Amino acid sequence: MHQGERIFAVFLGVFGLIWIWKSTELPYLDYYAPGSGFLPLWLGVILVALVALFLWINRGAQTLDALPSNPRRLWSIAGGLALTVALIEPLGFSVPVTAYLLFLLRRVEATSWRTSILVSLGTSIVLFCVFRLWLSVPLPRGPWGF
Amino acid sequence: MLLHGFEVALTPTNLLFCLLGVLLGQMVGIVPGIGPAAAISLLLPLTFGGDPIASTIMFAGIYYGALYGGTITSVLLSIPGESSSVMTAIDGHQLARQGRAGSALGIAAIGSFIAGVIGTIGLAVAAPLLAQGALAFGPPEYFALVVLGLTSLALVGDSLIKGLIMGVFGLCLATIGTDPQMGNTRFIFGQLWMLDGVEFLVLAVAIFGVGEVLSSAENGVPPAKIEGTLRSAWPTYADWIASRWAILRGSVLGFFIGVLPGAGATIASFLSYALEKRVSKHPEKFGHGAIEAVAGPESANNASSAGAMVPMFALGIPGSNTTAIMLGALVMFGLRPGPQLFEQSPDLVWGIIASMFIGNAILLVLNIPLAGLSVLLLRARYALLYPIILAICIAGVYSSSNSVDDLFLLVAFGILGYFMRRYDYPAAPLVLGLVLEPLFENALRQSMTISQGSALIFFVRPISATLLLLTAVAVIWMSVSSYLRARSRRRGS
Repeated sequence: MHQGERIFAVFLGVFGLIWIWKSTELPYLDYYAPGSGFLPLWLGVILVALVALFLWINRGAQTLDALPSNPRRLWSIAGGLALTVALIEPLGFSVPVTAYLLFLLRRVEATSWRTSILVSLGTSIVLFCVFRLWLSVPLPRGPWGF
Repeated sequence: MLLHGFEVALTPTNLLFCLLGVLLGQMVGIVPGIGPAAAISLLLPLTFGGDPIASTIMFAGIYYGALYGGTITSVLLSIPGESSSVMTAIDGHQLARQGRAGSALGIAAIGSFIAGVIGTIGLAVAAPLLAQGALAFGPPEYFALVVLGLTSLALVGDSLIKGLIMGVFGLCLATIGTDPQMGNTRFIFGQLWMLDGVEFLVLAVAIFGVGEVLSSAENGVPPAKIEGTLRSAWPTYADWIASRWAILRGSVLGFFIGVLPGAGATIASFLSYALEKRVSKHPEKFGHGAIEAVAGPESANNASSAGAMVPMFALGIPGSNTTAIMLGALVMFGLRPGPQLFEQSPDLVWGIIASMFIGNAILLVLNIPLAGLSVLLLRARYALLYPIILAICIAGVYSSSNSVDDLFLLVAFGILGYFMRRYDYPAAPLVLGLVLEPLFENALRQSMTISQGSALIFFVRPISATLLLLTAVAVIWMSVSSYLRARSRRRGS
């Protein structure tokens, strides 16, 4: 088993431990019936047990590393997405999303300026029309009114 | 009676409403975040004072149209807008990446049509009888059904234990928020925005949409351009041969699952996937683009919409959120759903049943050409396509809850989805665990209340005992066979 896979499994096990811990603060039984803490407690126990079993079964197993990775592209996309989401509340929907698309197309994918601008602006306008104008979804507005 | 129903459904007004319903439903299914229940709720005020038959025909059209609409985004973009499309996203999107999106969409359209017809025949022939049978399903039976469903889904993956871990993890995530029975808050860690819990759409779009994009981005070269030709846009004869029995099995299974109130299209689609993998001669193709893995679940989810009408018409019990709103509409029109509805309003019941035949035919006619058009979309370079997918993910998730907080969950679950793909953890058990937890927990607590705290209730009732026995046999059989396979591999090496 690859080291990263082991860490991921441990993360899931820790999640199960947190569920066990927090569910003890909830009522276990409600007269005869299970209370709010009953199912989460047992789910936590089962999750931890399954993760422990998984780690035990694969304790000696070694697999090849995953596919050749391109962490810069990966974290550019993920980090950009997180930043865009953080900016939606203060700046509205359209501007951060357009800027994010422009960043992905021009900076990450190195497409031409013309294509990048056309696709990013076109996508934002279509999404704004579909969600805001057609479906009346109140997409967040920025200080400039859109 | 059905002939009379066709007379009602084929009037120009009703035909127009049927077409309108199917079109609207399909659009609603394509746009993530707006489900058929929301669409019907929005349209409900517009039908005040209108013709109840035409309006209900339109609502039914929205219902089964949306089920197909979800297929399009699942196959093309790996974004399941509805929980019933989760299974389609797995193999459907793999087929799309092999340039066979048209085959997947075409088979889904054909399967949905056949399933819709079979389901409607079932509805016309056996509604009152089946509705009584559905009443035999009490809380213990639902509990056992969810256990069987989640376990069978874990079994169909490459690793049983990873499937089980994801299923339990999904159940855990679903316990976040307000306990529906006692009103306690659970696992919100002081964050009030978490009171509503984790929405299906957030998790599904993050895991399937964002996770897929991140996973592709990590590879040095993204999947680049998906090669698709107009010839590959249509299902081939071989596709049909591979899918025909899957469609038939999915239709029958979907209809009977749909009859059970609360079970619905989601359980139908993943049980069909599990069944198809079990009976397939090439189970190793599942997850990598097996056409029957699209045909079965798509047929099952469409047939279940006809099945869900059984308890609604015959007992006045809604089988899903959408039928609950349709039921409200019937009451609003002054009708009383229940056993008398067939006698008191035959025009309405048989008119709707007949309109479902027509609506399914309209869906088929609409979607076979659309399958060809999808090739145009997939000819775009992936470098241009994935930013658009991410923008749709953001807009779709925001529109479902109008909450920026859910967008942060989208990012977090997207990264989780990336790691799940990297380490081969199956996504379907996670998403379906989240979807099924309310049914699972309510059934457990109600059962234990009925039995005054004794777990024996699950083993003394024949249906739940049989379902749990099937689960145990499946797990033991799978564990033993994988142990034997591993041992023979070790001896071989």
